[in-house]
This record gives sequence, C-alpha cells and structure tokens, in this order.
Amino acid sequence: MNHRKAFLVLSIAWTVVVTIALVVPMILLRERLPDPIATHFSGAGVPDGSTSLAMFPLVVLPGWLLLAVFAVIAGTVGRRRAHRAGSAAMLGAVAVFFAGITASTLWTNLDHTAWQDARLPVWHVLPVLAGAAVAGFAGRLIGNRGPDEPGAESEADDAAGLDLEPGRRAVWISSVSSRVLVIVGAAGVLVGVGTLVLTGWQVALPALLVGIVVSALSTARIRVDEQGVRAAFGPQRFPVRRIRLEQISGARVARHRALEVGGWGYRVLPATTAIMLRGGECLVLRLNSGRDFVISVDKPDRGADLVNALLAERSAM
Amino acid sequence: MLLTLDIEDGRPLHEQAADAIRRAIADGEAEPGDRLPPARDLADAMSINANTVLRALRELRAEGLLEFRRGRGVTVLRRPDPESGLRAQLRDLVAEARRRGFTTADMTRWIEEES
Repeated sequence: MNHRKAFLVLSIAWTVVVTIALVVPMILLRERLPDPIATHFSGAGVPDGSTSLAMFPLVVLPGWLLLAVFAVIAGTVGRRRAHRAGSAAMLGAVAVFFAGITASTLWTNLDHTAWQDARLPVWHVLPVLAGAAVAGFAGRLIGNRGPDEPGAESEADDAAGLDLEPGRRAVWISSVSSRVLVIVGAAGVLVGVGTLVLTGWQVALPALLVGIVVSALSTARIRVDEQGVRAAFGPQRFPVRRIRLEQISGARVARHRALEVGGWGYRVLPATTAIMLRGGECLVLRLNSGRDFVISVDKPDRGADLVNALLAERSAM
Repeated sequence: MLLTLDIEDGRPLHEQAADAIRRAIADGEAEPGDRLPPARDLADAMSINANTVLRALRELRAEGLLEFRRGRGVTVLRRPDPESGLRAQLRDLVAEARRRGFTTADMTRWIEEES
C-alpha cells in the first residue's frame, strides 16, 4: 500500500470517527439539554441565538464534512508529501475545532431548562483554539511521510539563468496589482464618502472601511535580495510577508488561475500558500518544508532566476 | 526589474543609482514603454535615500532614457545608445583598475597596445 492509499484510508476512517464523535454526545445528552439550545452568544457569554435540538447537528456537521472531504481529496489527489502533511494538519485542526465548539455548546447548555439561562464561560475559546493548533501540528507530523511521486511536477532545470557577478549586489523588484480589487476599493470609498455626505457616518462607515481595506490590499510589491523574498501590500507597504532565503529550496515561474490556489488574496491550502492578486504569471517558491509559496507578480522570470542564483551561492558556503 | 550595484563603488550615490538603472535598461530588465518601479521602492532596494534616486532619475531623463508623466510615474523611453553602454563598462573598468592600484596612464597604454 503506498502512502497515498494509506492517507485515503486513514483520513476517511478519521472523518467517520469524528463525525460519530460529534453526533453521539448530542443524542446521549438530549434528556439533559433544553430544546432549543443556546447556540450563539454575545461577547459577554450571554446567549442571543438558539437552535432546536433536532437542527443542531445540521448546523455543525455540514461545515465539518465539507472541510474534511476537501482535505481528504486534496491529500489524495495531490501527489506530493506536502499535500498529505497539509491535509492531515487540516483534518486534525478542523476536527478538534468542531469537537471543541460542540462540546462547549453542550456543556454550556447542560442541565438548563431554558436556553436563555445558559452562560458561555469566555475562557472556553482558548482551549478550543489551542487544542486545534496542537491537533493540526500532530496531524502534520503524522501525515508528513512518504516520498513525492515522480511526475508530480515538471522537473526544474538546474541550469542557472543568472550568474551573480563578484563585488556586485543584486536586487530584483516588481509589483502586482489587482484591477478588480482596485475598482472595488475605489467604489467602496466613493460610496462611503457619498453616503457620509448624504446621511450619517454610521451608515457610511462599513462602505468606507471596506473601501479602505480593499484598496490597501489591492497591490503588492515584491522584492528579492540576499535576505530572501519580501512582499509588502498596498501603497502603505504594510503588512509585509517575508520568506527568508534559508527557507527556500528553489524558485520557478508558473501560470496559475486564482481558483487553483483557493481564490484571490492571501490563501492557505494544504500544500500551498498564495499571495494571489490576479491570475497569470506567478513566482513559485518551493520551501524546505515541501510547501509551495505562490506569489502573483509581473515578469517573475528574473525574480526566480535571482532566487536560484542566490541559492546556488549559498550552497557554496 | 533586476538591479545590480557595485558594493565597493566610491562614486556619489546618485551616480551609482543612475548607473544601476541605466544598466538595467540596457540589459532589457525594463523595456521601452515599461513603467519603472516607484522611486521609493528603488531606493528601498538599493538601500539609499529616495531623493538620491530621484536625482538619478532626473539625470537619466536628461539623457533621454526616461520620461516623467504626471500621475503615471516614470516610463522608459529608449535604451541607452551603444556608446553610453560602453562608457558605463569603461567606468567600471577604470574603477576596478584604480582599486587594484593601476593608473589611467597604465590603462591608456593598454588600450594602445590592444589596438
């Protein structure tokens, strides 16, 4: 049995076990729960929304199953180890997260006669998130085995397209901007300012906020130098995502559509992370962890050349 | 756009910056019609002041390589002619020779020997 088949069998078994573990307590504890139960809480832990006991599984299960099925497929169809590691991490973290919020909800409602009496202790949030993080880490450890299958990708040619001259420092800079996001951002600001003039600030605030945030993230500037790769967003050059040269094992150029990396924006998938502002040519960094870091950027060829040249220099050390 | 900078260059920074950008255009890193990255990013990449880059860009505009357009940034007009490319190489050679203790007179003698 190869590692992909093992992953498929184990991940399906895990999905079934977790699904049962989510449903069984709801059935066993139904005598001690109010109907409906409190399922939504304000910031202070006071319930402000309820769901009937029969409907509660339908609130929890679809989210879990959707993410689990996605991870099972991604880990099996993807032929690299990073796909299995990332998918297993996702299966672990998502399972504990859903189990945690279900347990927290049931515990909070336990032995109350009316859902309004339930109180959610705010500290519940912490163990759920911490548990999900630990489970994600454990999943990664378990899934991170087996070789990449041959033909999982076109082999990158090792011939350096660029030789660094002695005594010179090389820097590559480029940028990318999303026409869609630029237009959406500008429209948001316009609508916001318009409503601000015509009505009150309370009405204008959401549109203004959306406009400003989208505008701020609609462009990115990418730089490659001896420290690594750096992506800074927007005219304000903030936030900044850095990938140190030591984390990178190679670079290449590929064409990606936004859908292939999970959509527009900053996207984390089981085996790839992407800064995707537009479809088309991307700089793809293979990290030492086995993951790919995809950055949509104009004319990425020379950037990839420089990363590979810097890595070649480093290998001489 | 790939920029390369001489680490041991002793010339004024704006000349070095102008050289790096001129060389990048000559090498086809930025084609005629392309927009240059903002001076702020060029300055960041070269670890120098943005005003120094601006001075370099003005020099290149005076050479006819760049065009400043209101609201559209700086665009490349044309590649440097062969002479200025050669002269940039010569400048490098002279600087390198000086570093190694040769004088211009030595170099003139070499050129005469070669031709």
